[in-house]
Amino acid sequence: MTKINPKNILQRVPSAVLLFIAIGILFAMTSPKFLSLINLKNILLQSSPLAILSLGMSFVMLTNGIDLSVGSVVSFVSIMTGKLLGMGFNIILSIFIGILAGSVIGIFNGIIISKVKLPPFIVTLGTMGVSASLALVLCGGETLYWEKNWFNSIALKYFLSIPVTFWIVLLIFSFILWVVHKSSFGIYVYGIGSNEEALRLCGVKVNFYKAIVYLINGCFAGIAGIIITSRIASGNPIVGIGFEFEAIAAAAIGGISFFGGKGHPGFALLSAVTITMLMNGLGLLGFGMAWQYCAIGIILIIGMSINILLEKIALKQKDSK
Amino acid sequence: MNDQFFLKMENIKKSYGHVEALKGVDLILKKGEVLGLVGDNAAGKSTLIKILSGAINMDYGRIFIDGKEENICNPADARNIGIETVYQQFALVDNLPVYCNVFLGRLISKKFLGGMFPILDKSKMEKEALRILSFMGIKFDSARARVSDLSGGQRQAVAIARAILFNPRILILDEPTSGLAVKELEKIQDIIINFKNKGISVIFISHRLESIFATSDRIIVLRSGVKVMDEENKKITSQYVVEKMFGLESKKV
Repeated sequence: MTKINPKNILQRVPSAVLLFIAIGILFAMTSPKFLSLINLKNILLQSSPLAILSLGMSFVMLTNGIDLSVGSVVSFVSIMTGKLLGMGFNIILSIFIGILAGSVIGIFNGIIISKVKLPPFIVTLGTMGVSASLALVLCGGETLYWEKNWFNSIALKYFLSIPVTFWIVLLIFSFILWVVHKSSFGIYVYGIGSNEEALRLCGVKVNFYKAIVYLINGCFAGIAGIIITSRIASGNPIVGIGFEFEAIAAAAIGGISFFGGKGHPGFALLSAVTITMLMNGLGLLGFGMAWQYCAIGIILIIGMSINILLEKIALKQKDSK
Repeated sequence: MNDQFFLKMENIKKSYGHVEALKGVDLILKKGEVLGLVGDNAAGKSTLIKILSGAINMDYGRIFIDGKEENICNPADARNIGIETVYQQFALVDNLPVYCNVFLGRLISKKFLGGMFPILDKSKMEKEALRILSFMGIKFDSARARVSDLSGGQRQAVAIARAILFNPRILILDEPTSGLAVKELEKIQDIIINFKNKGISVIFISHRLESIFATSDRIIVLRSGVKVMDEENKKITSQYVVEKMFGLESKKV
């Protein structure tokens, strides 16, 4: 039987696991409320939108891409859904249109990136501006409210003591696991990030798969937008600000390579929860949003440094064999 | 079937901006023939085979296979009509396991939940990949090994395994011997002769003239985008080929 070497295991897991444990212990020791059941449930609830966004962002980054538009798409979907609900639209239809709006922006990104060959950074920077602007234009800069209905309570419901929104995360994660481990699409996502030309020479429709990746990411941003809109019970044009930063940070800390082809979305999900834990813990200790963003920036740098260090050690060990 | 011209490339032209890479090249390939394609750097050999394999599109010319004109617009078109290519850099995905690279572009899935969620048939692909690799005489412990962990010879074998797995009609080998040790080189030559015996037509590009002479039936030399020699292997010497490659004063032996 093969002996399990803890050192090898440590090198295979990204910094996400270490940071999750370290931050968990730090706040458990400093804030008595941190480990309370109600706060843990709250962390799961708060982390749901970011977890969904980080899963989508992982896919994009695995193809050697990036999507800066997700935060603005969340705001746009929030306003669009709020507007429709305010006009008395059917709730299911409003949710569907909200997710569809995110998907349309996603596929637009994907088509321009794969067909026109513009860098993902530029394309999604453009759609970031457009989505943010559309959100403000649609609501005239004001928060939108509607008559209270069951949509408002989706984000507040629990099933088996776990927030419904986190069940949505787990459902999406199951889909991601199927894609990554069981589907040809998953193989091609990793392949595009690792050697796009090789796939093209083997007759793989690289442009099609790239476009689908951005479509999925846009769809996930739409779902995240719906969850947040339900949670705050209003359509807010600036609710998505900063989400692109958090989603990219979660994916990067989770070990998704900026050069594509490496990493597992599962660790990005764990990082999303870790980032939420960090913000939650700092909040409990009385630190405001400004300090929370500063802390995310710091753990992003620490996390990436640990990932690179572990990679170097693994490479050294491989070379010495 | 036209036995004389199993593959016929007619008046192929290709330019990159103002640079004419191919200036109207003709090429014929018979069934079961091994054709050596040689030339100095920038002679146009890679451009010619990239056109045939669908990696790039020609500006002008026609391609006939088995007497039928074919429109090869992309690598998928080429693979669908039985043209497989082993590229110089192998076109492998380092982060993926061996079996995924062997089946790249043709991954096998099986039905799951009534076909709603097709899942990869990994065991079938692994089994097939190992079978084809062992047929080539290259030892692999597992088809799950990442390509990045393989030796040069093993990477070569994976690239060739991918090309021969689906019984190609025409196999293109672009510099398959570069960077290989003598033992691995001999293995590649054996494999080429094995293909020939099976009736597969092979276009073999190499800078190693001894390999070209050891395997080819006929040799074509390209120089600056023009075909300057098309001779049967037996009738020429490597000295003559070198002279043709570099445009030196030639003397046929």
